Amino acid sequence: MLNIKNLSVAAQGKQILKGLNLEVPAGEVHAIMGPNGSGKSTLSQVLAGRDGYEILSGTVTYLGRDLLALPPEERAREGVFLAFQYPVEIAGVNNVYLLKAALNAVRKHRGEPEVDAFEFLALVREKMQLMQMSETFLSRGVNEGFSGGEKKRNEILQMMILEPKLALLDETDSGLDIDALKIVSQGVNSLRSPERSMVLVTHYQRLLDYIEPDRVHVLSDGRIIKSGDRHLALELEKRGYDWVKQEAAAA
Amino acid sequence: MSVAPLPSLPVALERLRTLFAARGGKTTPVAVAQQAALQQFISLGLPTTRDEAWKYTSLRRFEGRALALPESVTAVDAGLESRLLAADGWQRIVFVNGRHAAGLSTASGVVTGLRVRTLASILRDDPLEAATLLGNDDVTTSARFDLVNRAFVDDGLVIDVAAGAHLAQPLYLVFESSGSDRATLTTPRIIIRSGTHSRLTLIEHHVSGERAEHCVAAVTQLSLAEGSQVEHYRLRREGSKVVHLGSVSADVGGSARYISHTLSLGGTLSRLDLAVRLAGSGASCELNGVFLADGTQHTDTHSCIQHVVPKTQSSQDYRGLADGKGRGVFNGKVVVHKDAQKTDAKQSSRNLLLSNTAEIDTRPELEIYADDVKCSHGATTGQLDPTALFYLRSRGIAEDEARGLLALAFVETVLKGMGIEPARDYVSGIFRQYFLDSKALTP
Repeated sequence: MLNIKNLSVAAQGKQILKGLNLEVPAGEVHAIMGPNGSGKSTLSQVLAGRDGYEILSGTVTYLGRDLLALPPEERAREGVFLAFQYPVEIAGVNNVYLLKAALNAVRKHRGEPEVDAFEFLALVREKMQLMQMSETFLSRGVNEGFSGGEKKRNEILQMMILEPKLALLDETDSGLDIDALKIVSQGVNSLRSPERSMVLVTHYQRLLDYIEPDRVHVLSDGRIIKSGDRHLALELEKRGYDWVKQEAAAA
Repeated sequence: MSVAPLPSLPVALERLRTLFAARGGKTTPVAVAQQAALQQFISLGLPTTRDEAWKYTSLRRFEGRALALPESVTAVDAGLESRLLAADGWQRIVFVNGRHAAGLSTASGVVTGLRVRTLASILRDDPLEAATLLGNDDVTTSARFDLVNRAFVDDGLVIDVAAGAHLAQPLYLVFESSGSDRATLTTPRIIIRSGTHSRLTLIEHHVSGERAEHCVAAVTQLSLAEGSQVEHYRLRREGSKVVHLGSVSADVGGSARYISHTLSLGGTLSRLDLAVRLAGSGASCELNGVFLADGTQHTDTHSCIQHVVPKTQSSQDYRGLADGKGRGVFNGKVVVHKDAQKTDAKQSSRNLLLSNTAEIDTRPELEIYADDVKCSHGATTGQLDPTALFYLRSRGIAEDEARGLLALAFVETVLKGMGIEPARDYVSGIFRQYFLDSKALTP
């Protein structure tokens, strides 16, 4: 699904990713953990196509295509979805309008007809119920006046509607209380499938209690320095990151 | 009537003088008032960018016009109906080149509490009243073209709303520039007097096809008696060659409320002067508007609110957009007079630049002579938020469309204030088409 080779990236003249390698096969959920400033958010932003980053070297292959050559909207239409760490408030653009435009953009790309307005609204209502979102959401602007938790739920709602092939979740757990975390995790888990891969970028192990990853990677100073199964996350929670760094330095 | 020869006038003024002379000599009280107005305009000279009120707006595009008097029009330019609001059940009064066109207006059934007369009929039947209406009250430098209107006006409307009358339907006034590709000078004048505790919704709509090269010097004067309310839509969407130099003035009495919504779109050079005088205790005004300049258009909105007595309120919310090499100007002046304690004045001007070659100048101007007042203002000019743009694109929305949606969102917040649905839909439809569809402002 996703294959990152030797990726080095700089922002504003400062190198952030330093030869990162990562492979995410179809159907797997990978967690990327790491201390602040290790390059976690840069990785998800670069994968989604945010400009302002300079690719110094390396390749990113997604379903056999050169992902970095595509503009962000093309990536989205090809099935890449980024759940933002800080979802943007856009007063004046309606939530449902955006959802529908986004879904139709994907469908058009696949050569499918536009979604029926009535069926679409029924679908949105169904998913909203799963995410326990209030009815007022329908008439509001994108993330307009939403609490932190509502914004994160809205990201997962969009993901449910768009059904991406590769989902990147950037610190989706940050700012969530335990109830909201459960709802968000249920939403994410409902999307697990053999055809869909997910990359969870997170600072804490907490999220992984609810979304069990197939692999856990430690990102430090722009590189993956250790990989393992979900037990690695538990160990990190207990012992912190320093021992991994020391281990990597010794190697 | 003869115009005294003046040596070497600037060409634009010389043209006005010749044009005035071509209307033929009369010696009625009206003609005397009109000549006085012209004389005053000529002796003051054209405003220049050295005048504070015209600092950002050059009249070169006006000066370049070889003005002509309106001719009687036999057929209006194609597509008039498509330029107008879908206005079922409203009384519609149409002017073509500043003159009442009965054939295009809807039958003026009797509406209780509403008296509508054309200025032409008053000029014909009651020269004394006409001379009074054209008065000789002071004209600010900012609204200098009021004098041109006074000098040349031969039609318009005088609207009286009876005390206590609540008019259920908006009154829809259309000003179409049509039938000529010469720089026809049109000078409609609307005078509105609302009786105590009456309510009126007025839609003033300036339109033209793309062919028009008219120069429109329109004036609207409102006088709101105690406790009355006037909601005034001034929508302007004209062809790209039109020059429009218009003004609105409102005198607001005690506890009366004036609400203004403006749309400024099209025309190579346009200027709107909006002067409100809050003259009675408890008087208030709410002004909002949106303008867009694209291509090489220049559009200027100057508002001026005078808080004359204690306990008056004003709020202003303007959104400006400029694309291409367009240039927009917003100047919002608030004057709080010495006795006007407890004044509450809010002003917001937010502007969006859609290209690197566009320019918007915005300036709040506060003159406060009272000490117990609440005055706030905010002015911003910026570009589309790159994070919001990325957010939309990351959801599969193409870059152009994402830009359009964000620009539209910027405008929509002001449109929310427009309570009359056909008017709001019209304005919103124009921007929707511009930003999501054709990128053209052609009417």
